Amino acid sequence: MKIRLLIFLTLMLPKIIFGQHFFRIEGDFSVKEKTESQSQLTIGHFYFDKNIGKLVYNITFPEKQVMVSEDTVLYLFMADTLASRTRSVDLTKFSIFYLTLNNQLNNYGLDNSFYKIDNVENDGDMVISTWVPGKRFSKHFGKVLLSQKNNRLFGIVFYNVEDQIIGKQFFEDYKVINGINFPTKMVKITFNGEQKNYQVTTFENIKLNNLNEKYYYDFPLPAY
Amino acid sequence: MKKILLSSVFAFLIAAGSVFAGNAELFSYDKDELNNEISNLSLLENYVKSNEGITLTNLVAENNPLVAGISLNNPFTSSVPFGEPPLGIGSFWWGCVFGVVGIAIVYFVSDDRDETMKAFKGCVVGTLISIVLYFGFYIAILGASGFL
Repeated sequence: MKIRLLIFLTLMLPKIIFGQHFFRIEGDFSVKEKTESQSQLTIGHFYFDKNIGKLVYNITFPEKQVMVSEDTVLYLFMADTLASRTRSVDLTKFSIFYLTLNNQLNNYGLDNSFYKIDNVENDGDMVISTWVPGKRFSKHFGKVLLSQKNNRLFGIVFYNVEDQIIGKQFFEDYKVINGINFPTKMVKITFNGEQKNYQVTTFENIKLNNLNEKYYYDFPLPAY
Repeated sequence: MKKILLSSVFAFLIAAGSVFAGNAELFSYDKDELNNEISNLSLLENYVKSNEGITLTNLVAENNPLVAGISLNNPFTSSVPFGEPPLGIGSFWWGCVFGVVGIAIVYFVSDDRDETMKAFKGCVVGTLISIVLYFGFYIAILGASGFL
């Protein structure tokens, strides 16, 4: 009996520990943004299912609205009515939610992009890697420096093609949710000449694989 | 020889340390400055979270000082609206003047069903006008040459 139990545990333990597949993430969010000319606050709840591919923001402040990003289209609904449909960059593929669920957050998904790693160095408690765009993209994109602390993404520094820093992003206050590391605070600083623009995003009540919610994860979109 | 070797190693370590320190410094920011910049937004955030369901419109209506200077803009991305016709020329005219080619241009450039429908209507109208003009000229030429 003991031998059978031992064999069962030996075979099943790795699957039990590592085999859980996460495909859904949701939680409360707030975005505080401050530029020279304006301040804005957005509060709501986000939903993302990587199999469905829709990133849904159920916004409660400043006004009640639902924003859905799918591929390169951004839908805005107010009072369940489509208010606008606009083109945008694909928010889903570069979202922290997609990267987290696909275990790509540590390198910010750069290893699956047109960037290639150029250098890696250790500095104190940080591992800093330098990423450069492929030849085809080097005329339009600058290098990226990425730092990790404790094997978790800590910061990113973005450069333009003239090798000037155009922005920084920091990932802080990590929480372990069902074994997954998730940063509950993101600080983004963009440089506009001498001017700095700040964006602080915070997350709370993160849930993984919530199967009870159906409507928002697959928010109905009009057919075009 | 030993002294030279040790000096070289020492010099290398100092040089290497100074290079690495430069990159590490990039990964920092002034937290006090950041907190100061967003302090009003943090106050507003706390107020909104403790008053569930409240919107900016409600706060503006009650002249709440916390919302002075708050914007309604979408914070996530700048985006381009659909339905912009190519070159700023109306989609109807693309279809009317260039026919099927015009419809294709509108379809691929605007990526919008409504605009493509306008181009299609333009194409139908353009085709009808062409037919009317064709037969009009045909009849006029026949009439002038004495066949009618």
